[in-house]
Amino acid sequence: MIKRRTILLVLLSIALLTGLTIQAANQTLEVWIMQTGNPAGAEKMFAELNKEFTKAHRGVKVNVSWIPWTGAQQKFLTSIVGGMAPDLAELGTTWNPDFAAMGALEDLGPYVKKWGQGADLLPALVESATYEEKLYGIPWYAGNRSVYYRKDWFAKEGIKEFPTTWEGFVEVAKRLTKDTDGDGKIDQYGFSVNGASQHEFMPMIWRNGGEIAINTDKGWKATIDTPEAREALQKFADLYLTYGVSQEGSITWNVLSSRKAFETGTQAMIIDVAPLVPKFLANPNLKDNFAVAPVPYFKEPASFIGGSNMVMFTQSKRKTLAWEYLELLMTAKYQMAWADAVSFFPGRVSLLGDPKFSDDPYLSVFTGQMKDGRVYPANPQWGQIENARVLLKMMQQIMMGKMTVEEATTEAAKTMNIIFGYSED
Amino acid sequence: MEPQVRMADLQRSSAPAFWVALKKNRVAYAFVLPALIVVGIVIIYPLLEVVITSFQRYNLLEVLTKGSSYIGMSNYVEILKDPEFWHSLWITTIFTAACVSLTIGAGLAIALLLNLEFPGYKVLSVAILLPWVMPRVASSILWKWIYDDQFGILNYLLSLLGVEDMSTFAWLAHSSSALWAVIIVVVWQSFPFIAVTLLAALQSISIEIYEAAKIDGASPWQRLRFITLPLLRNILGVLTVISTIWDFKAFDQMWVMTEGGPAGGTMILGIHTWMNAFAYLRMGRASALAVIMLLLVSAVTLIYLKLFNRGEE
Repeated sequence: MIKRRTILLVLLSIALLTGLTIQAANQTLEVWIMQTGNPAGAEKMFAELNKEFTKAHRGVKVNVSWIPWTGAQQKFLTSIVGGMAPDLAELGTTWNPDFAAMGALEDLGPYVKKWGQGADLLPALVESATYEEKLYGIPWYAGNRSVYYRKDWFAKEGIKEFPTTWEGFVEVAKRLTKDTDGDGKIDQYGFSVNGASQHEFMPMIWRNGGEIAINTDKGWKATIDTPEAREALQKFADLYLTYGVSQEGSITWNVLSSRKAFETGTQAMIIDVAPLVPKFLANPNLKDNFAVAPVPYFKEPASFIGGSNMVMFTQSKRKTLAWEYLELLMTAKYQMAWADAVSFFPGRVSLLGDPKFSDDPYLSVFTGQMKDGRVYPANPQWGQIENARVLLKMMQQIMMGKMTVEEATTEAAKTMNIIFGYSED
Repeated sequence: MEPQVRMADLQRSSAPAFWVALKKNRVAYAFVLPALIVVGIVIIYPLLEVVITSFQRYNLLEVLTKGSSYIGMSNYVEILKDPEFWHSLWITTIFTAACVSLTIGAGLAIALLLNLEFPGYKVLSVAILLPWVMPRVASSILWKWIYDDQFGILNYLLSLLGVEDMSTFAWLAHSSSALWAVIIVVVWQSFPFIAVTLLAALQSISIEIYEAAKIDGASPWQRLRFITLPLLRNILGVLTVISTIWDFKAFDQMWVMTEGGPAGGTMILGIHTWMNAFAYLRMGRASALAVIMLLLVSAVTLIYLKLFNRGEE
């Protein structure tokens, strides 16, 4: 009887001990990646990456979670405050300063210094990841926007070339807005002014030589109420208000709505991102009928560079390991594989010269605009301005005719300055 | 089974009587205890946390580095000074009043119809439950498509009816039509529960009363006014209270369909609170808003209880 109990005890402790040792060797790296438009391709790339990484690091496991963009920021916030943050995560560039200011992110400067490739990182995204002169993220991939247009409709109207001036753009948009079936109602629109999507109208301010906000010695100050900014917003809103080339309901449209209108053949031009190229090429109705062009500008070319940085959380207990994972992710091999999977651009300047980006008739248009890339003000309050929909409200009030551009920009600048904590005195 | 909840019972309970009842029904309370513990963990504890946070400066941007600090009533004072709060409260009031009256009205009408027990009424009374059974977010997305200016079936139907001007009307792009569009969705989602509950109550009213009234020469309208409605009084009271609470704190339908837009035109308190918490990251202020909402709902509920109890004794 006693014997049996002893054996049982010994067995139990062996089981427990081995369990413990296995647990110690089994480190799991938690990585959060945002969901992409090509889930299969994205998962394939990470499977390959993880295979290579775990081969070099025995006993290490990598757990990649796919986070939907909707509600992602809230998920990050609550997990950080609750002490449940992952080791590494992809962060939208505009969120990077918020989380850095929270003290949630690891300063990656020392790691990058040792790595020695810092100079190759995309400057616009480095700006987005920099907070109080420290680097809190590594530019992973970037994207900007171009105009997609129906070249078959252009041909039908006898328009030979895509306009390069704003006046030309307005003219084309007017000619492409028409009643095609003769029932007295417009059923084809030139372009939609999306009131619920800021990445189309905000860069117009830069294109007119204006700024959205500037960093003064008293802190960040909104400049969307300057004459340059107002003029740009007025001209853009006039597409809706004066020329009627935009659908009545576009007040509440976002980029998905205009994309839908383009895909269903009710809109001639949209401003949208590069991953649509493979999507449209796979669409039998569109594949021979669309082309891509740089966004026309008023005074100077500019394009909003969005994208994602990879960040490490201060809560991580495996920082060295996490950095090694990042280094592998940032190698040319995986940068190009990711660019292939999601149709965005790599975060490393040296890779932008790759023929894939410079020779492709569609992608080269996007690549050409990368050099004029700009980012939104990189400060912790910007995320609040976006989430509180301050700029969307401004645009919608203009479009609804509730306020003039002057009134709406004055109000929005006031709200922005309150959020920035800026005051003249 | 008596389906009617006595409103008076909800209100009357003085402390000593409570202890006497506790002693007398020890076994019953023992059975309720597990449920109470769960309620304590998932409702009472978070509620206390919200109240505590509402007296703090708890900014998510600062909480890891600087922590939070007690600032007394500041959050409440700031809210009461904020014109956006009053705007939001006004919209919420319209929204709630419209949703509750339309829901109760539609529910009562449907219940009275189903109570006629025409052939097939049983199938119908199950079928009307469908909108209520569907997940709210899913059906809100569906409705968003129905209202779509370009592809929506509503505008298509209107143009079939010859209302040509409406063929591309953007329902969600104008503050008032957006508000009413969401009200219709909320009513559509919540009337089935009201209708089924009222139907159960209707069927418990004995037929003899109606027959006696009929013999005395009461018209159908009189039977409704003097028999049905008075007998439904209690259950109607409870349903009104429940609906008010539900609609006052609505969030999901509005969030899915308008996000409080256009230009803040449908910013009900639920969304205003969310904005403070997750857009401005001001958890203290958001908690204070939540407490204010709780107090408002409680006040309205108390008024209802008083109204429904009056004249009952």
